[in-house]
Amino acid sequence: MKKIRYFLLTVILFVFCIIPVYASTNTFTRTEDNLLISSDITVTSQNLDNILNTPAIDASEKIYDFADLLTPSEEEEIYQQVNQFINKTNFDLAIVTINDNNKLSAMEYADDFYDYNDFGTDAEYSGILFLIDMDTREIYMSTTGKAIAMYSDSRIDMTLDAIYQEFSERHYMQGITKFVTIIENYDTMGLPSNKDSKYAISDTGEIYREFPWLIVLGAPLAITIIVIGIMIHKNKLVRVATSSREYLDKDSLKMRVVSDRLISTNTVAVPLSTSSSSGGGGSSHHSGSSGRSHGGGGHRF
Amino acid sequence: MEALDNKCPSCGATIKFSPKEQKWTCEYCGSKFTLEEMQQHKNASSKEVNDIKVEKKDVVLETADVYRCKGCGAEIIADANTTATFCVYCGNTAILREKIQNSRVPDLIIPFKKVKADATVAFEKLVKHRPLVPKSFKSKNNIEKITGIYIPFWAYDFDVSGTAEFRGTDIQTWSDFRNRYTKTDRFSVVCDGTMHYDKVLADGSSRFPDDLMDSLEPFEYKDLVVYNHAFLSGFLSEKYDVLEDDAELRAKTRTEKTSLSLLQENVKHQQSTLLKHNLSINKHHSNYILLPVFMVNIKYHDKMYTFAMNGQTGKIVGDLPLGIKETVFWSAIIFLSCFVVCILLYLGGII
Repeated sequence: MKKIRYFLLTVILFVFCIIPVYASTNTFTRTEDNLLISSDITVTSQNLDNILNTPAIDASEKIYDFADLLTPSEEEEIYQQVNQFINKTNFDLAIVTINDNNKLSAMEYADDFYDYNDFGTDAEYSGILFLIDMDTREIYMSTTGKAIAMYSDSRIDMTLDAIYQEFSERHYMQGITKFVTIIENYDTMGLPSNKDSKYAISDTGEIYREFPWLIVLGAPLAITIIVIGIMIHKNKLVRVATSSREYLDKDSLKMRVVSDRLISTNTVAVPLSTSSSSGGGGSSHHSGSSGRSHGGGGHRF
Repeated sequence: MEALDNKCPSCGATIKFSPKEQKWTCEYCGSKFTLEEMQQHKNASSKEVNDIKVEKKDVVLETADVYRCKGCGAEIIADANTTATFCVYCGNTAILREKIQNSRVPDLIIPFKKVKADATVAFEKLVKHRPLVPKSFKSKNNIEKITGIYIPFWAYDFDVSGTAEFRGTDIQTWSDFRNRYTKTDRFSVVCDGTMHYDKVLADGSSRFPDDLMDSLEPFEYKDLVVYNHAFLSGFLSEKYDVLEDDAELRAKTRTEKTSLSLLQENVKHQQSTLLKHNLSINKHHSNYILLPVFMVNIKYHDKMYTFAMNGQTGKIVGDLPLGIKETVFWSAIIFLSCFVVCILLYLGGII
C-alpha cells in the first residue's frame, strides 16, 4: 500500500515536471544549497532573494514565453532568427515574456534573469536580453559585456521607440522580429559614433541615414537672407552723420580718469552637471544584484 | 536787377572757373587766369564787388526775382536762395549780385576739383558692383542732368569740456570640479577732458536733404580758400536758408556723441555704459562755407533718383533702387549654390 502511494506520488511529480517542458518553458528549482548560478557570482544576504526568485532555465532555449504571448510556430520562427543573430554578432540573445514581475522593476528582472542563468558568449558574458513585462507593461532591453558599448543609450532609445507600438497593439511577434532585426542592423553598423544621431529606423527595422532637411534647406535659406540683406544694405548709401571725429583737433585733446571706484562685486557659483551619458556614443551602465555591469533601457507600451 | 557775370580780361567773353586747372579759362580765346590775375581787372572777382559784406542779415523769403542777363538781355528768373545760375536762353553765367550782397557773404569756399564727366564715371562705378540694382537703371543714358552746385554749409568750431560718469563692468568666469563661478565687478568711473573741434559741418540749405549732404563728408579742408564771387562762374550756387543758430543743433549733437565716446575710451573695463555727463559745448567760431557738389539726377521708370557727388573728393552717394528681378535672381543663385553644397556635404557624410 505504501509502495503504491509512493509510486503514485512519483508519477504525479513526474507529470508535473513533464508538462511545463513541452507546454511552455522548462524551469529548474533553485534551493539554497543548489542555487544553479555561475561560480563567479558572490552570494550575499542582499542578492540571495533575487537569486531564488529568478527562474532557472536552460540557457540554450533563448525564447522564454512565460506570458504565453507567442504560438509554438512563432516561437520557432523567432528562435531561428535569434540563432542567426547570435552566430552573426557573437552576442547572446534571450527573449523573455512575463505576466508577473516579482522584482522591483523590469530592469531588475531582466538583469537578474540574464546573470543567474548561463547567458553570455564570452568572458564578459556579452549579450542582450529583451524582456516583455506584461505586469509593468514595459519592454526592457538589458545589455551585458561588449553589448553595452555596442548598444548606446541613444541606440536603445531609438530601438525601443521604433517597436513599442507593436506591443501596445499586441503584435508581439512583429515587435520581437523587428527588435532582432534592428539590433542586428546596429551591429552591422559597428560601434556607435557621433554620426548615430543622423540615422533613423524604418518601419521594417532598417537603419538608414535620415536626410537632414532642416540643415539642407534651413542653412541655405539663412545664408541667402543674410547675403541679400547685406546687398540691400549696400544699396543704401545715405546716412545721417552721427560723429564729428574727423573734425577733432587731436592736439587739443586732453582727457584723464578722475576716479575709478569699485562699487560692487558679486560671485555666483553654479554647480556643474555630472551626467555621464551623452549624445550618440554614450552608454550609461549600472550594476545588477549579481554585481555584474549592465546597460539598458525600457519603454512603456 | 542785374546779374553779375564774369568777363574774360583779354576778349570780354564770359569766363568760367575750370576745376581741372584751378584757373579761370576762356572758352573763346583760350586765355587762363589765376585769382590774382583776375582780380587786377574789373569782374566778379574784383575787390570792390567782394568787399561789400553784410554781416548776419538773414532774409529768408521765398520770392522769385527777375534778373536781366548780361549776355542777351533775356530775363532770368531765380528764387530767393539762388545766388548763381545760367541764362536759359544763351547759357551765360549769371552771378546774382544783389542776392549775394543783401545777405551774409560766404567766408570760405572749396572750389570744384571734379568735372561733370567725373560724376558720370563715379556713377557707373557706383552701380557696377551692386548686383541688386536694376540692369536698366545702370545705363548712363538714364543720367538726366548733372549740375555743379556750391551748397551752403555752416561750419562750427567747438570747444568741449566737462566730465562724464560711466558704469564699468568686469566679468570673470572660472570653474573647479564642482562649480562654475561668475564674478561680476561694477565700477564707477569718472572721466574729464577738454577738446576742440574744427569746422563741424551742417547743411545750410533746406533744399538739399540733410542726410544726403552728411553722406558727402568728408571734405578736405586743405583746399579751403577765401571766398570770391568769381569761383561761382560756371556753376550754380545757393544761399543758406537754414539760419546759423538753427543748424548748430545738428552739429552740436554729433559733437557731443563723439566727445562722450572719446571719454568712454578711457574706461578700462570690459563693458562700460554712460551714466551721466555735464559736457559743455561752446561755439567758439563759425564759418559760412560753400562746398562743391554735383547733383546727379537719374530718371528711371518716371521717377527721379537724386545722387550727390562730392565735387572735391569725387565721393558719390545716394540710395540705389532695388530691382525685383535682380533680387529674385540673386536669391535663387545663392540659395541653390548653398543647397548644392549642403547636398555634397550630405553625400560626403559630413552632415
